[in-house]
Amino acid sequence: MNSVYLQAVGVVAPGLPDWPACRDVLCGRAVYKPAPIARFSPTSLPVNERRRMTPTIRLALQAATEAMQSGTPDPATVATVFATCNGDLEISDRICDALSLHERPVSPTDFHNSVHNAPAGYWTIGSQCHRPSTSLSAGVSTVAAGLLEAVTQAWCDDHPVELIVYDQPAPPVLISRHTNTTPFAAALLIQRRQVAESLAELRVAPVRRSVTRGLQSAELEAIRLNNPAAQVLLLLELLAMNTVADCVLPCPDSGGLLVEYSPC
Amino acid sequence: MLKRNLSLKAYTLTNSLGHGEMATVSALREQRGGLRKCDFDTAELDTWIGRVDGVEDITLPQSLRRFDCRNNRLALLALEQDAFTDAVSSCRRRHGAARIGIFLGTSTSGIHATELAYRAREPETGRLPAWFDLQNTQLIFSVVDFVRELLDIRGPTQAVSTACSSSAKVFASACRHMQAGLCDAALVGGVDSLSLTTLYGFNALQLVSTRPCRPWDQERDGISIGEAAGFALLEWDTAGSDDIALLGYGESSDAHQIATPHPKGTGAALSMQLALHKSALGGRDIDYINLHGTATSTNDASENAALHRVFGIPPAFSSTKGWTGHTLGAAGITEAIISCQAITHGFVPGTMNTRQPDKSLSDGIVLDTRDQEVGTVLSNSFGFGGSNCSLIFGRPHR
Repeated sequence: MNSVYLQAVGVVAPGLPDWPACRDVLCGRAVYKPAPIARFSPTSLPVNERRRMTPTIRLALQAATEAMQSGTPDPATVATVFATCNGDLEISDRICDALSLHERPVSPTDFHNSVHNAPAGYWTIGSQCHRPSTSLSAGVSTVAAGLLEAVTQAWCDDHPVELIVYDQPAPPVLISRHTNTTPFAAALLIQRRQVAESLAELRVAPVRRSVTRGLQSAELEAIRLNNPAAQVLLLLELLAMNTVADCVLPCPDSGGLLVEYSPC
Repeated sequence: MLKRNLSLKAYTLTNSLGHGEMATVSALREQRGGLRKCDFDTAELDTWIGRVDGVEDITLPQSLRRFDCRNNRLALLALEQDAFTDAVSSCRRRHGAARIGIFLGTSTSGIHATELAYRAREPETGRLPAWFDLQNTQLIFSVVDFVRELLDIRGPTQAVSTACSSSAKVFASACRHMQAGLCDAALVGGVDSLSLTTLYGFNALQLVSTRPCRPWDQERDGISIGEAAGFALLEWDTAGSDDIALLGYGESSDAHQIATPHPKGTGAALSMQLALHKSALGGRDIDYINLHGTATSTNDASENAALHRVFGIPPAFSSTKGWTGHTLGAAGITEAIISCQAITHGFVPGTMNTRQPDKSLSDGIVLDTRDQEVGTVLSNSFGFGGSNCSLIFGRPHR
């Protein structure tokens, strides 16, 4: 089992404006208080792009920005993996609504934002990054699939990789038992080699067992069970506790992805 | 450099040229295109499309009915060709279901099901009909979940959705997962089906031609949208095998604009250079380039600038979008398989519909399919959001 090094993280959810706030709730130092997410507007993007961003894109980019805020490595040198279960349902809602009308007035901006990799497009423009970027989805195993993609890129192609996981709530007409009602995004910056800034070593391997325990914080456990992207809180709890420990991220068919955590 | 070559043990392709991979080979050789005047659903657009015949008549197995939508019907139709499922079964017996990964690309998944559901909303409440199943049709993972259930594949899994580079990038992801020892074989491919979203969406961006698309032509004025499904089974090359292999891949980002490529083709050039580097080949080792070649004014100009930068004078090159239409998330696998067919059968596909190549672009685009020995092919796939991927296929190095 090969390892990678976790260097920085970012988090955004209601009441969790950044990683320090999330960490304090995860390790029981602070009480969780829900609060609306403040509107995020990345200054690195040209005005036109900034204006066109949807709430889903803002959510993903806010987490991505926090994990890269130290400026080391230069964001232009970091490959990205964007992982989401649901994609941008607000956009598909508006397009399908327009298509049900007689004139079918699909907005060019909506169509332009409808590609699953729209957040990746905005991110690479803002960071002037020509490195590879992928956008993927894997149902309940979206976080596990995103982590494996990021880890295998770091191993095989040997560049720093940022994994961004995000899921925004569905618009009212699409809400079902499968869709989340809480927004959540997180980002993990990983490298193949240990550097001065490394926080922890991560070892990952598929296992034939599923998630065995939930989060200690009942409020964050509720978010984890509500939002597919928030499964990453299992891993972030290890970082908050910062001791040798492991967790299992959900995969299909009652399998899981084992993540072993050792502080640097 | 790739430590080992990744063989394509089996592949299958279905598109508007016909069901099964040989339908594409015959059409390319017989100069028979697959585009027709738009007759999809209730679309009223003056454009040409590459529609696959018979998708409407496909029935999913009873136990997998929850996945029923045009995209998954097209996936099933394609999987049933070329004895492909037999090859998957044999692979499963050799490696075990948990050691086969599955990586499929799609751009719009089963969005047509949502379009139909919105038209059938309850007038009073606006509620969607009870038959609508968002998770198993519209969501991007739907086609992967359907195929893994259908074929009993239990290894690492992901749906890649990076617009028109989706089903090219699956080769890179599968290769990395296999190199990392997470699986011993991988099912890769892509499925994208016609939808009103893409027809009216590209129309809203004024990127759709009213005539069959004409890549590289001085009068080119937009794309023709098509649909397709293709799959390939990847395993490590074994000594003595003569299977065609993935020799290299390159991926890059434009970092320019969401819907327009970089005018100088910076990202496109980088993805081709990385693929050459990974395969340890030089520009002169490539016999044929299958262009992304969508036939919009800016796309072809940008790709041309990239081609010039990487190759100077390029080898034989052509775009096959005029035959199949632009199959979006399935374009990568479609053109990867056409690249393998060019090697297997010894031909360079022509560029259908193109008659007057644009003099401001590189000279020498192949217009009519011709017989020629082809050892190594580079295939380009570039997508919205500035997502680029180039793949190199050939006989393994000996």
